[in-house]
Amino acid sequence: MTDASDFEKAKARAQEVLDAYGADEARWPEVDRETVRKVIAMDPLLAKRQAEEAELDSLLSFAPVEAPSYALQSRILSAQKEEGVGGVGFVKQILDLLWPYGSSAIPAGALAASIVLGMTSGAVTTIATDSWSDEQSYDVLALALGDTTLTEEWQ
Amino acid sequence: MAALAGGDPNAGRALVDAHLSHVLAVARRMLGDQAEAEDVAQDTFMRAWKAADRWKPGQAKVSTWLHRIAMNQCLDRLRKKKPEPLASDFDAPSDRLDPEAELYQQQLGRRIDGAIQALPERQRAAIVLSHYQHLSNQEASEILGVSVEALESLLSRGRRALKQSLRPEWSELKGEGDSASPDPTMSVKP
Repeated sequence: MTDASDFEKAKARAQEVLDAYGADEARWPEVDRETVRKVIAMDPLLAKRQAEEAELDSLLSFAPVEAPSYALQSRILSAQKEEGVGGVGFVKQILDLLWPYGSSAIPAGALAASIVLGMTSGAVTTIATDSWSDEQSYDVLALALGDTTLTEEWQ
Repeated sequence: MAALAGGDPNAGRALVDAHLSHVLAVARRMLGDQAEAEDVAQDTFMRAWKAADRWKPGQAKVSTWLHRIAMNQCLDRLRKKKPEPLASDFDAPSDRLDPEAELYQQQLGRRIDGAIQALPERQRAAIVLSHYQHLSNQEASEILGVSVEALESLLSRGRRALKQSLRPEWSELKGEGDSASPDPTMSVKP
């Protein structure tokens, strides 16, 4: 890479920066600012181009926008109250009281995981009934079905 | 933002105080209509309040985030709107007989605003964010969802188009009589 080609590249980039961001250095990308400034100082054509861009910048500054009115500000703040946007915060405040250690997603996740675990273990676990006698099985069934006539042992 | 998410009304007021002028300016320059811009500003803050608890400090600056909300609303509105003719005085730059300098500036301002409104919406958005809102190229490109190179292309084309359409005003300000002389450096790429 020669110095001449580096300079040409820098000139091309300076042209791009002027085309896109205009003449005001404050608007140039910070990473390019120093190089573009130096290249413009060395190249009269780019300096002329910067002056032209400054004219457009100046022209664009003739289109100011109105400052927000007090009425608009009040309208926005009233809308916040009317919409009850603070309600989101209220719920969050309650959650923060219940779980002040960070995100409430942690206890919510733990609760959900325990429910899933409970349901899964209930579905896959069987009660060992092989050793039960016929009478014991009958009594359990009777209890489950609401039959109050039990064997003497249960009464 | 944490206080805002917690429902603190003072945080809401502080957010409005700090950013309303920027949000309103973006909407006004994008839409060219003060009343509609005020509606966008209001909606922007409502959305910000509702989403405050989802805002993450490391992801984007509050100002960038608000700019993005406002810009997206503006682009949505522009897409729903039918194209409207430019203000009638946009093509009448020779109307300079008014002795009042203030009135002249107002007229000039309206013509420049008209030229900005006439830009394709992506170019307009790039000019508004970069030139008028002074956002960095990273912030502006992030808001528009484009690369920095694409942003620079939008800016270049937007500025070229503005030079072309504002040539009479440009000559007027420079005190040149012949505003219609063609300038080969000002070709407009749509």
